[in-house]
Amino acid sequence: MATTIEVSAAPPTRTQATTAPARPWSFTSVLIYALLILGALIVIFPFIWMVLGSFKTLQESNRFPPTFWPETWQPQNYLNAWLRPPHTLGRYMVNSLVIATFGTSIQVVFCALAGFAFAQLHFRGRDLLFILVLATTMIPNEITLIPNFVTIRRFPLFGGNDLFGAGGSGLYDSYAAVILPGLVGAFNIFLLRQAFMGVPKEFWEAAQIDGCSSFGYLWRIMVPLTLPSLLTVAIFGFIGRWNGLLWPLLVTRTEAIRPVQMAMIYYQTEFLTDYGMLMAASLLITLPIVILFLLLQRQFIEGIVNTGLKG
Amino acid sequence: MATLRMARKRWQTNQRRTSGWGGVLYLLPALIILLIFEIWPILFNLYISLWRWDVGPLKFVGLANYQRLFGEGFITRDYNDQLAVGEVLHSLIVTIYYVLGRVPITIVLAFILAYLLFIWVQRGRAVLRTAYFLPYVTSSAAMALVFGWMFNPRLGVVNALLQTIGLPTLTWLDDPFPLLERMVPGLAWLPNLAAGPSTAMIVIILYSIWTSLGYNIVIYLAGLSAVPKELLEAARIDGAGGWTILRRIIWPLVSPTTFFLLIANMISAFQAFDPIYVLTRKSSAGAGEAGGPLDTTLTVTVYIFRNFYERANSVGYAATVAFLLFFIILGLTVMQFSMLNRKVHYQ
Repeated sequence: MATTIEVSAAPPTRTQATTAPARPWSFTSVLIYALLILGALIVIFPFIWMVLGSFKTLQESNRFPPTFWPETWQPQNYLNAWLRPPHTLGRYMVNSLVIATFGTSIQVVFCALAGFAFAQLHFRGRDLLFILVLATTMIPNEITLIPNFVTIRRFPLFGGNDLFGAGGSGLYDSYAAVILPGLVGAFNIFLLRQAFMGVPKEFWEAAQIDGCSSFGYLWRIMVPLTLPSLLTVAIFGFIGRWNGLLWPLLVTRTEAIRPVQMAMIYYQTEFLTDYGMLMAASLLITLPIVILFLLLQRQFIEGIVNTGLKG
Repeated sequence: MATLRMARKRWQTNQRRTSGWGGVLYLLPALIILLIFEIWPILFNLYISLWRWDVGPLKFVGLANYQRLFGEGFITRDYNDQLAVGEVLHSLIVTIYYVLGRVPITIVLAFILAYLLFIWVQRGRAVLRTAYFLPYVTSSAAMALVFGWMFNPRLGVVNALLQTIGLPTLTWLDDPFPLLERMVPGLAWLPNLAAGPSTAMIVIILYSIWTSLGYNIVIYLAGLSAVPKELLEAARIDGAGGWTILRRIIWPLVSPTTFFLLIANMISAFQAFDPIYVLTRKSSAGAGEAGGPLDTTLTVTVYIFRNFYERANSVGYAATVAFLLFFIILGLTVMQFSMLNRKVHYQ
């Protein structure tokens, strides 16, 4: 999950700006609407094709030229897709849910604690540490991939390993292996620090005079006030983990703990692919994210706009 | 008054002193994770690259992996003892085709669409934006398989469309030949690697444009809404036409956004893995290997994966290649950060 940063010259929080002057329906504007709608239909087409395809029979999906509407609707595909991989799709979904929920929760907590320290607390070496943390956003995934794999396998005292990481397989093939390496994004710390710094300093002084501890202040004042930023970090974390493929592929072996993206691989193994079933499976694993996105859309898009965050 | 100030000052210094350890405690969880899984790996990767390494270290080889990377990795000899392009150079060229095929088109398309949305569309802008953005949040494992079916040479809807409008069909992901050679038969004398991305790579480029377009549109819309409205009004009153406003005002004013997107897209393109893996690991006939056909979609990332995961004893070499990619991406990121600083400075 490489992150890239942009600080816009002027913070454009609402993209819904009402700049377009109200004009009557001219020929040009109708043409441009038509063009934009056509473009949107092209972009949406793979989703439409997926939904329609998910109801087609094996014969129909393997026919050329293809049909647009299914001739015979076969909802059975969904049941087949659900039961097809080594375990039911539900099992993989639960795994992904566990990985995404735990990973994201811990991520939000760790990043909030760190962001709070950088924003509010004074201690020696703080600024130096902050630069160090910020510098890690420049480290791409590829360089950490191999060493992290070795670190996971040789994790001391786990999976039959001794104190020096020899003897067993460490954390390899566990939820922890999937969750740990991407747990703290330095960029999220940066984001939350900015959000915390936006809270007026007077609140902190008032809270201290009232005898509030720093943790109490973080929990009772800061968290409610910066909820949108925390939510942004959480949405990106959740979607990134739900969609993750490469890292879980590397560090898991047991089907019972593998996340849902990996289940997709089992649908395309034969010579004659049952595309109806494949599309049903694609739809089932895409749907939760699409719903989440549609529900939290504003949060999501503003998160991107304000930060340039790229999951 | 003075006593109050002194008391306050003492209270503040006390506060500083007492939060000394507290601050570090707050940081500790995040710092430990970053240290183990972000910072240490750079050194550890260097260490691994000095070894022949499989599941564990086998033999210390010093700089041999680097010699191999810059030696036969770039120029090698084929079975006829002729000079030939090495594996690393090959994957670099493939990567550059991918980046060049994906990034400029994405940015130009995104700018046009964002501009039209911004200037012409009031009603329904949010709905259109959602439609364009949706691919960005969906996973490659699922949606790339949908693309795989759409571009299937025997059954795909894309070939059906091409046939309907009377164009020749293509075998898409099964086809290692450059699209240019397929389109212009007279170019067949060109070596394949010199004639641009393979037809298979075109599908991956199309998929990548499809997923990243919405992100670029959203960023452009934000950049456009930062253009001062008075400026546009003034230009309009002065009689400037839409094209002049676009070229003389809007395009220069969103150029920082364009530069940002250029780098961000390049970084993301150099790192692309999931769609290439999902789309190429099985050909339409069921065989294949990620990076195929004939390695024409074997980008550096996939090449690292292949050495790391699929070849025996090559983990050390994979780590060496990872350093190459690391420096490319680091260079791009530094460019991005330096621009960020300049922009903050100008504010």
